[in-house]
Amino acid sequence: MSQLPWPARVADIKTGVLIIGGGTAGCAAARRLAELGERDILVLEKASVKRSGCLSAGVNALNAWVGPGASPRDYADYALNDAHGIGDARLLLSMSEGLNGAVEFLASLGLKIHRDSKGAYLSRSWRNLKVNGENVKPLLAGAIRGFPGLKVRERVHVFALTLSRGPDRRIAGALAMDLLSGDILKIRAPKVLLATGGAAGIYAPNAPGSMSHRLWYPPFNVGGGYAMGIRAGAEMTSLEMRFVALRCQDTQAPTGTLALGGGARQLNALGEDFAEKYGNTTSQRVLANRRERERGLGPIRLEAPEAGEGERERALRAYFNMAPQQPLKWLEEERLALGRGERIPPLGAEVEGSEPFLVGGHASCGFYVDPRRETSLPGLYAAGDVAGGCPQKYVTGAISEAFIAATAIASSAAEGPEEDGELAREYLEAALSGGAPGARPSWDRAELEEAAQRAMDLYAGGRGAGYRYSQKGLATALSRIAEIAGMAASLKAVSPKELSLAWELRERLTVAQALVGHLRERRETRWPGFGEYGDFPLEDPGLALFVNSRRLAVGPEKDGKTGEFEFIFRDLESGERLPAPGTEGGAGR
Amino acid sequence: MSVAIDPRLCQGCGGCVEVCPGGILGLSPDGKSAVALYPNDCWGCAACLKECSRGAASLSLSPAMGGRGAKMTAFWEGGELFFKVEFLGGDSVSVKVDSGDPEDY
Ligand SMILES: Cc1cc2nc3c(=O)[nH]c(=O)nc-3n(C[C@H](O)[C@H](O)[C@H](O)COP(=O)(O)OP(=O)(O)OC[C@H]3O[C@@H](n4cnc5c(N)ncnc54)[C@H](O)[C@@H]3O)c2cc1C
Ligand code: SF4
Ligand code: SF4
Repeated sequence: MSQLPWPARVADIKTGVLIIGGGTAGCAAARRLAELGERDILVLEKASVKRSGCLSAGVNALNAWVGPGASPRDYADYALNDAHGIGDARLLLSMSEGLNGAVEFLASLGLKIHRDSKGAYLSRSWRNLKVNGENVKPLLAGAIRGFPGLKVRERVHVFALTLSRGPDRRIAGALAMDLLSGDILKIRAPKVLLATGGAAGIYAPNAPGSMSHRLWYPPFNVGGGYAMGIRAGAEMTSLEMRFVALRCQDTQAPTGTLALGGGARQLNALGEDFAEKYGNTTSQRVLANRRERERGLGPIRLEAPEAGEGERERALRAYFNMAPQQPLKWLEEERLALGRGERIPPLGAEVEGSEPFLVGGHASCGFYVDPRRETSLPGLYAAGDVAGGCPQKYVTGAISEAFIAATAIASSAAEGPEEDGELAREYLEAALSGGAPGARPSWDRAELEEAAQRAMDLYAGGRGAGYRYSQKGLATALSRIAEIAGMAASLKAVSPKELSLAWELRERLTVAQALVGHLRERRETRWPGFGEYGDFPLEDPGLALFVNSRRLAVGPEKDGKTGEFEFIFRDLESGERLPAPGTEGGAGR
Repeated sequence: MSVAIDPRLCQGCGGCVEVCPGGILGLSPDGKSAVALYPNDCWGCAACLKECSRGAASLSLSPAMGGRGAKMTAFWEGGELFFKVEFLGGDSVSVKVDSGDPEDY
């Protein structure tokens, strides 16, 4: 690897199953595959499996569960309705059928689920269980470390998927870099599961400066899995369904604990509870908050005015299990009030909408997968936040999907195809160009990240633009992002970590280009809380279909430019291809 | 300030470096202490705090987030996790994360 400024070796690795990302879905799938008798499983994780991904800080509830009297179909129906109809009913049903199994799996690992004196689970609602889950990720990590048949390699950034020769390309393996040694890993695997989570950092964060990484979604999940899939020509779905979360101001801590657990309600500056006016889907609740503030009735507080002392302590502990900065903030507020001899403020927090994220565990965006969770690239599977068509998965849904994928993988052929060596070389060269000697550009990685996030914020419906966008603005976003991607291609890295950070920027830029195309192609406003399309401000009943995309070229971007996409419209139930809306025979106004 | 390592307390065991989900921390060149390499990129997840038996790794809220100088660390006692918040005046509170009540937090 003469191109790199550090002495890097190249290691050739062969494995039966490769799992990319050792988060919730990755750990669950690895364990299940090993239990199913698979003997040659390799998990590659960018951080350390003990505390990586969404679960780094823990959880305090299992948000997806089928309680007594309810059925998996009830959960699937609820999720589809919450997504305003855009989801795959088959995926939702099979995910829902596995939810309670996922709860039992976590319980068997030692997760503390709250129970009454008779041993029955204590719930926050028919689909939500309370847990002491600070340690959920160490438990999942413990389930795979040292388990027979399973190897875990950490601090490894996977940067490309390799394929067989065309035209019927299938997965052949992946390329990665060891972040400690800088060594390059060429992995050959006939079956690969992507479990890299969703994408943060595509849009400008809620607050800049010292707070720019204080996001709800992990800033270290940058959408690398989506980017690798897009570059490999996989079909993606519903990237236009971004997720905007209602979160505690400043800490971006989730609000469900206060709302469901503590009975708190959103109140505007006049103390009015306005929820009834706007409806109760996730998108509508986000919209309600925004509209009230647009009326000048902010700040909006989520408040439990009746909460007593015990309730306060309980909320502190509940948040220490999941988002520890929020109780730190409460304790600081309390201390200030006590110091001034004032009353302790009522339990609650100011709430606001986050910047948009791509999260297939909440919205429908991600890889387009079949009921076995196989993507359009044979042999490549996806589960968790990276997989699309199946919203409202959360922790247990990610595990349920991982189990479905594991079963499919275990029962499929183990023979690997011939790798397209030329394509693999191209990927490697493009990735390592950042280490090649040469003049340093006048910009750095952080500046380009800021530029990209700003372009998305202003022109592609970010928070700064009131989540609104137009066809004209989207065209501007696309040309800016392509330009920035070109600039990013000339970044130089002096260490493996710096190279990895440069790749993360490029991964976000790839995802951004696909996302903007999706926003343009869904010519309606279906989830006004998540985004409003100025040219098409209403929901169009004719557009109850999937907007999917596929990049036409396969291989690394040239000068950072992702190039043309084909947009594919599909029936929500059958998956059949539909004529493009607006054309002859197509739906839409 | 966000994440901070107190070099007077740190023993350089590397536990915090190991678990950080974002590779924010590293060891100093002499290996004697952890250092925050990318403090502005810290997520605030507190994974590093939970790993540090010396109370050397801490988190605080920046003033923009409403921080007023309090410092949060974590410690384990009898297998139980506690968070400790030390206020600017030197007084502190500790909260046990699991109340031990199976019916509640
Ligand atoms: C702050 C927060 C709180 C939440 N609280 C709850 C809750 O209380 N209850 C609930 O049910 N759900 C909760 N959720 C949702 C739930 O945690 C997620 O939906 C679920 O964990 C997603 O699992 P995943 O495996 O898809 O992603 P993750 O668990 O995030 O796993 C992705 C993994 O891939 C790795 N990775 C990424 N890119 C690469 C690469 N290129 N190479 C190698 N590895 C890579 C990452 O490091 C990470 O370990 C919460 C989410 C967040 C963000
Ligand atoms: S865990 Fe604590 S003692 Fe160990 S290196 Fe980190 S800060 Fe130092
Ligand atoms: S709080 Fe989390 S993200 Fe920040 S340094 Fe510690 S482990 Fe890393």
